[in-house]
Amino acid sequence: MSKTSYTYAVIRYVHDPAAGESLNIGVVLWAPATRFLGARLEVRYERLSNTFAGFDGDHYKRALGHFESSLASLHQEFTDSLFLPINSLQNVQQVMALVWPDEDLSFRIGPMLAGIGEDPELALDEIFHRFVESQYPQHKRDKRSDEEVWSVFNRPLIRTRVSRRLAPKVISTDEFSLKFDHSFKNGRWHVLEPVSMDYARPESLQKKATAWLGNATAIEGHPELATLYLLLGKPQKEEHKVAYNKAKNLLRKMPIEHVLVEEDEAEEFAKHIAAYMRAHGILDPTEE
Amino acid sequence: MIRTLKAERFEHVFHGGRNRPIVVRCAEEIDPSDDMREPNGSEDDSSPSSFLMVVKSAASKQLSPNGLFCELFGNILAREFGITTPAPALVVLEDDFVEQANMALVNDGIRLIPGLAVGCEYLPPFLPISPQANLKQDQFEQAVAIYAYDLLVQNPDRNRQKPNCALYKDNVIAFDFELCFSFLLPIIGSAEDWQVSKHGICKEHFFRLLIKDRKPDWAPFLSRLERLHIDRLRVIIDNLPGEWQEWGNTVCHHIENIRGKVRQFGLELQRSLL
Repeated sequence: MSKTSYTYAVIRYVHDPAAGESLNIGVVLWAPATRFLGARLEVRYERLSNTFAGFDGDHYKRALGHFESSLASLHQEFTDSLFLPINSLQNVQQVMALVWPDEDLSFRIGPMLAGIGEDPELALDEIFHRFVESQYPQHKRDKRSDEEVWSVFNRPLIRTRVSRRLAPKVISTDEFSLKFDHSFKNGRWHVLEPVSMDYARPESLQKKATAWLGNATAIEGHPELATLYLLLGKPQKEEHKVAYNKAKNLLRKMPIEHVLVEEDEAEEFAKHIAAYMRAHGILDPTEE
Repeated sequence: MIRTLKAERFEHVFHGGRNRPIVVRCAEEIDPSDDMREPNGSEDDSSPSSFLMVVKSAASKQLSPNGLFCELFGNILAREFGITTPAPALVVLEDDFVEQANMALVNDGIRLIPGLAVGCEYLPPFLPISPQANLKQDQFEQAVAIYAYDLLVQNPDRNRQKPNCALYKDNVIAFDFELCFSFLLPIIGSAEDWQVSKHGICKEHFFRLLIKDRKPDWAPFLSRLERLHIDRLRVIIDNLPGEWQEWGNTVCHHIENIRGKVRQFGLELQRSLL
């Protein structure tokens, strides 16, 4: 199999540029011959909040979200164009200048590095492990957060342009209020909520499912709510499969219009939502 | 009154921009008379009158005297429109500080000269705004205000290559004002001050495409323009270094001209997106 050339760079978070301390938080890779443009980012920020005084995790996550959306838009542009301005996009630094032109802020691109390989996406995963994941002690990962589950679903949502139409929405009653970070409106609100069912103990799955059963009961009949899409992160441990199925059965009892979406359905789900949005004028039909 | 500080310790050079500003720890020079709002708060807890400032001076690879005025007054005026900026100040570079700092700066090709410089608070972390960012509504409104302001003061220096803005504590913050007030330069043109769609600035503005997609509301900015306290600005100008006061008065005259045509200016803002 033929090898393709690529350049890549490590993304660093520099909390105080004058002080100069930084942590690696991601990698971006560009292979112009195959028009592969990808990034892997560390969305968990425990290291950063433990290292830097005054670190704001929510702000950090939102800024990374913007970056992912921008990169996806750029990638789509490269994929759609018959002719790339190759002379101006030969390496990852030139590409990144389109997304983050300012070099002096707190997200920075490290020196440009290069390689060759058969699979740029595989190379990206390996490089991310080398420069980010391997650089700090990994606690035994026996659970995933809702944010990590969201990152799985968000990638196809970005590619299908859905994510740019999502916004926070609070559903309130006299007794209860629930904020959904990823929602869109077509008359009434459709809300997307990542729910990790990946826990160390199976009892925690039941607890999470009953919590959502309670949430749904509290907002039952709300006039603004159309559909709740629960985006499920299944447990990694095989022995939790039975508990997971029981948890899903509990979730199916929620007394509101709802859809349970599995992780391996993420691509199809994104296409379905995008098609719905185009059909109802939320997404421009030409935005494909 | 404009806060005036004295440079004491050089910490860092920003290499990314054309003007290579430096980060300097400064001490209070004169107690302010409390006319201006307090800075956004980068005071060192261990020393109540000590500030970290990003400083630009009339030195090699840095600003012209006109540029220093624009950097300071452009920042002050932006804050009058409710735009979030790092708080501005005058910074005095004394001989002994300059001598020491220049030893450290020799490899950067920067040579400071004693005298007056202009600074703004150093407020990390600033997170970048991607051109395709889906800003929250309040951030979008801040971007609209910055766009309108840049057209008002004829600032061409906020574009895709040099955004000169960032996200700071969930707000859109603008910085770098040294190219504001292009009308101070003797450029021959036929467009009126309020005909901002014809000044050639809007097309390349960093926020133009982002704003165009989301139907901006210009009313809040126009309302601020109508309510702007020109007298307050004149007091500030009276406290500027002598040679800057004439430029300050020209800027006030420019603002008053446009304020007299606020409706047309509003239409021009909309036209600038076409």
